[in-house]
Amino acid sequence: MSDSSSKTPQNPPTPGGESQPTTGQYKPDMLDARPVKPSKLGYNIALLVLGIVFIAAISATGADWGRLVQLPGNMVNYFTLMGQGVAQPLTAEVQQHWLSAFDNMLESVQIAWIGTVVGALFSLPMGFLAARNMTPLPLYVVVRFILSVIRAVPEIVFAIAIMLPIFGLGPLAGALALGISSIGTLSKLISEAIEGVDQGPLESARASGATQVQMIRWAVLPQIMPEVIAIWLYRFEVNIRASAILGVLGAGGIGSLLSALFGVRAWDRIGITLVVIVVVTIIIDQISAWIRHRVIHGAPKKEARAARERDDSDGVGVPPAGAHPI
Amino acid sequence: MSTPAIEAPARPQKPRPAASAYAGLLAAAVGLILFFLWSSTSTLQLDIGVARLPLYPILGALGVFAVLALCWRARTGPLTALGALAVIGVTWWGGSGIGFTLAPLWEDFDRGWPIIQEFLDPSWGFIWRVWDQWVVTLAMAVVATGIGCSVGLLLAMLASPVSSPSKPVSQAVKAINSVIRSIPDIGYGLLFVAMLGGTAAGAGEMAGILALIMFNIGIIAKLTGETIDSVDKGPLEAADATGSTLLQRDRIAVLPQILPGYSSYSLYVFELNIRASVVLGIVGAGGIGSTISVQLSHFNYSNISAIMIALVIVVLIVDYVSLTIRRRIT
Amino acid sequence: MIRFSNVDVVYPGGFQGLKGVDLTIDKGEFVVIVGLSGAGKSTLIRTINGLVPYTSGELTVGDEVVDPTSKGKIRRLRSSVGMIFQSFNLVTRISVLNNVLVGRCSSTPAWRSLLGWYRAEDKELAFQSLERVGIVDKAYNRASALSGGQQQRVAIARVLAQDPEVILADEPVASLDPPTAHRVLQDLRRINRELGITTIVNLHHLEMARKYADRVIGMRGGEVVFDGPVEEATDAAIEEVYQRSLTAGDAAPESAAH
Repeated sequence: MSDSSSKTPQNPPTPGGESQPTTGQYKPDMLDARPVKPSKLGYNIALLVLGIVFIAAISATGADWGRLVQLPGNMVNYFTLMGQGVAQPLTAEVQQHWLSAFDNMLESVQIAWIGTVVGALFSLPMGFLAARNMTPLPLYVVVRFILSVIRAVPEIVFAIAIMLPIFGLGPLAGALALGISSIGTLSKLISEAIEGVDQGPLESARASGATQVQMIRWAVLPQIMPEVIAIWLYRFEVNIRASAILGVLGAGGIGSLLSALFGVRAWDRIGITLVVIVVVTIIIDQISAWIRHRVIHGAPKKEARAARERDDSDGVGVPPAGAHPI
Repeated sequence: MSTPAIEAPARPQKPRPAASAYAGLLAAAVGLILFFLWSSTSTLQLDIGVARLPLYPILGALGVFAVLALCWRARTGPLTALGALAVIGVTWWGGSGIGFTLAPLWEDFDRGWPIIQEFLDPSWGFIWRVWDQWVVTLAMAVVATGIGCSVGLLLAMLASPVSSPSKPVSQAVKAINSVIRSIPDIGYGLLFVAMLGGTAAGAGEMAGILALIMFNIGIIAKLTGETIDSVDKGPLEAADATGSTLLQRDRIAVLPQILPGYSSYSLYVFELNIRASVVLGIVGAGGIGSTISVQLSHFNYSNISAIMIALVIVVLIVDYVSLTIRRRIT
Repeated sequence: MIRFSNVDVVYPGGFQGLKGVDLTIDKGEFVVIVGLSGAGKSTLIRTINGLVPYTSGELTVGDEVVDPTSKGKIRRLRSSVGMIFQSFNLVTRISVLNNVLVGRCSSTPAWRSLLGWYRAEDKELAFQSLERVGIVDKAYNRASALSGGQQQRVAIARVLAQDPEVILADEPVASLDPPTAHRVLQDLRRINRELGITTIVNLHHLEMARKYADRVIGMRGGEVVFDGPVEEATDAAIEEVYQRSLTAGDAAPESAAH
């Protein structure tokens, strides 16, 4: 410890420390001078500004807050209607409703998957071009700028501006729009993974005279691949939700069905469709989360063993951090 | 080569995955190809002179064998190879399902070109004419972020076993969170527009804010929940050992640890809100999206193009500002 | 003060942490527990404030029987039993003063904790605790800006702010270098002397145990196998506890100590 000077005998000690210590008995000496409380002015001003912005925003939205009063009543009504729709007996017609919701959801999943694959194919090379430790500065700046523009544009804009005119209204246009807009996020995340690689293997590869390609293949890819796969899968989850957005434009899938149903206010079928969306999305999220975990942390068996070893090293249920010297 | 031959001990062979596993994989591959043939609805045929073969299943089969050969060469484990096969299978299923083709790119390009040309010629004046809609959009994003992130934090705290009062509460709130998260923002938009009335009924902004709030809760609860799960448990134990209540422990030991992550997620959500408001406007919730919707119905592509350029600029500015703030926080 | 009678601890996995421990620790004693890893030292200490619930037998602290099933009672118990950890367990992102104020939790209403508005007398107590360990000048620094030894002293101040009757220290110096470790143990020892707070410390290093303890307890396999005043803790006795001969690693380097 460096501050050995601050240690001074403290007298007189508070007698009977278990009774409520009172001020006055304790006389600190000069070295124990209490520090002045630092000013929190900047912090408080920031909070104040935030509060003002929030209140100003509430009035600037021009939203009719009075409408909130009727919301609970409406919600009860409509949720009852939806619940009745979900709970109604499975006649052939109702079965048809469930099936069409399911088919449309599967189409959304297909759109999302193809979009993710298209994005994934481009994202790996783009990720390398956008990684500072792989690319010369001018190229890096240009690629980074292009990527941030792509990320700024909502997928719906790609759909309206580029895909619909050429590919026409349909799932293919949706998938391609998702694919292009996936490139932005995927490449950025992958480039960050690449920038975060352990420099050791890179340097040893460079020292042994590896070319750029060899270096990427043997020193970078093995390190980042699990993370990249996790990023791709995560984007797939995001794309499933995004495909619903494109559906509203007529790109097919669950979004098209949903907006059609809302158009005619078929609340029973809306209820059925929402249930299908929730169930399918949660199942896919769970599978994807399981695979991501598996890819990053390896097989579950190994992990369990490691955990047991951790426990054994220390007889305590709550293992304290740090290794024991004995 | 004058290296003297050393009496070398047997060198370990590079481990080869069990041939039986690969036989199983081969069987899986054949099954997959049969599935391709069975489910193929495409009429595209490949003419090889003697016969006409369905194009998509052939492409799929080629992909399957290529992946299998690659895995065998690289000596990947059977499970990874199976994963690769599954990816090919799902991709084929999705691709044939949506009729994937790039042909329109050269066949129908002429049809789309005039529209793209209009996009390339944005009407700059229009950007300034709709500035009030921009203010509304930003204000909606601020309000929704403020409310959504507060509720999201609460739900995340209740959901994480680290900070939750009990296991049943944590499980229940977790389930609620994943339901909230699984409905896309557009779904909420349609729902609230239907319940409150849309822009036409003068309630578009309200519906939009509510939809954004639900959207934000889903994201914040997920991300913050993961952060809470991974906080350093030491200070929690220390707070426990001083006899603090759960609420005190969450406030004193958990909150300071998650604050940087939480703030940066909130800023991220704010960005997402601006993008999402475009979509929400199209279904009748207010903001800049409703302007886009109107212009779209008039096929006024150069106006849309102008709005989109402005949108990109706004998002880039927000992105930059939030990056600066995030840097200062962490 | 603290009485174990035939206390067993069985972890959910079936591992037996403590086996039939009988022990009485008097008020004001400075007790050091030694033993190998996994001998049950941490379990013994954590049983006292209920961080690890005991499964059979009876444990009393003060006049109260420790009841692991009652959250309220355990909380009241913990308010008078302070604990120090190997890894300090400070919230590194908040100030030293706020960390010390964590010790006042049990007597602070929830709304004050939520808003972070502590009473003036709590703050005064926190300052006095910091003065007692000699780092009051760092009160407004972030805890992460402090060295390991300083952080452990903040942790001691946090315990003092509780105004405890018992201090438990679980490997308080295992993450510190020897000179710093001695400083921290000296602080603990001084506080034990000055305030008469019963102090129970887990230590790995035998020499440190001999230097600071009134009484040494040796544990092996969850059982107390040695218990006596520090003078009786001879090499032979400790070898018996460890079931092997002592090595250089068991003794802490003395060179840098004050």
